[in-house]
Amino acid sequence: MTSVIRAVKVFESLSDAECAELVRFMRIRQYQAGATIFERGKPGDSMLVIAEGALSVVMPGPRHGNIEVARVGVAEVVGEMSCIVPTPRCATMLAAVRTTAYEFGRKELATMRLQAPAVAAAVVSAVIRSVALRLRRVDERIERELAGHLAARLPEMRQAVGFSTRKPSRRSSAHSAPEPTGPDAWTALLTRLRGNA
Amino acid sequence: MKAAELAALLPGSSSAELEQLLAATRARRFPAGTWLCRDGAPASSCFFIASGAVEVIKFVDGEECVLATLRPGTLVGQTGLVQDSLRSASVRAKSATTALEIKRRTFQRFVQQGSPLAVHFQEQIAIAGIRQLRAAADQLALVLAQAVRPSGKQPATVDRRALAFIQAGTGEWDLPLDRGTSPPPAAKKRAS
Repeated sequence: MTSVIRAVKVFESLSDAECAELVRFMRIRQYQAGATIFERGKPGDSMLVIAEGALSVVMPGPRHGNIEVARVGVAEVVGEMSCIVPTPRCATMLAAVRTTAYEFGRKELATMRLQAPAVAAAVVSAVIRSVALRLRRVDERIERELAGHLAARLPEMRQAVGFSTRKPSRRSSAHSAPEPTGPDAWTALLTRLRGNA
Repeated sequence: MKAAELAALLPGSSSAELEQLLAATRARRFPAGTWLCRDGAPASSCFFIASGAVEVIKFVDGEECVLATLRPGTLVGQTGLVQDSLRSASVRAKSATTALEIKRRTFQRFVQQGSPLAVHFQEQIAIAGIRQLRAAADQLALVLAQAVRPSGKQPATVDRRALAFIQAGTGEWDLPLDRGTSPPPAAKKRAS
């Protein structure tokens, strides 16, 4: 069990001893292929580390049915933020095949804070650090996309307003979204977004 | 600053813990309009707002955007407690403010001791980080949404499902949902 935790990227800042201690507070869960593990919008307060098998992450498609948007494999983790701040689940997750996972929830974290406070703090720090890294990555991609998006539209913008074009505000508050017309368009969009990651 | 003044802001903390916090940090006074920290400066501490109010500010194309107004009892500049980084926004006192500056070394010592105060601060840091990540992921989805629309025009209606789908494409599918599904409040803009 410890070797799986050791391989989890989110926990790379933990020492071997801290990983071993974390394992002591985790519960083993087994799921048959096709079993629903989390449902989008339902309350969640635990994380799962995949030890064997894989999870399929699905979201509602444009008209009917679900589309798989991601796969979660061995030594990957889902829900790590929920065990610190309980929130509704962000996506529906199914066991893609027969799957074994280690679960660690808010209750276990509370117990750990009493029995091994330094390890509990290290686990929470690891999650915070991973959130901070992701934030930086997303911020960098916003800058990159804005630069690319602007470059592509520059001729059109020049024509429309001359050379006095202004960069759109990064902190734009309007919510907009594309309007793909069918499942193929959505899948194409997904492929394009992944390609740029 | 006395422990009794902090007690209302940190309920559940013993007076010994509050004394310990006061002994390990520096209470700094900021007159209205002065800066607690500036965007781009190295960050190795955070501020616990003890009295007054502060504004989190970002300059975009010379325009001042007030991203948030923070009241007593909140932390600001938390990333400085977690890792070496640069400040991602500026913070200015909106009214006369007293803030406790917590250095990273001090915070780490508290964390290792398992201090309940450190647990409380860690939760606040996690909540703020997740909120920021969600806002940034929304922002990225909006930028991408504009990029894939040939006209570059924005539709008037909000489609959270399309937004979630775009976020999935960028790998940010696992952000906890907000309790409500309303979009984040608009940043207040002011001419600088």
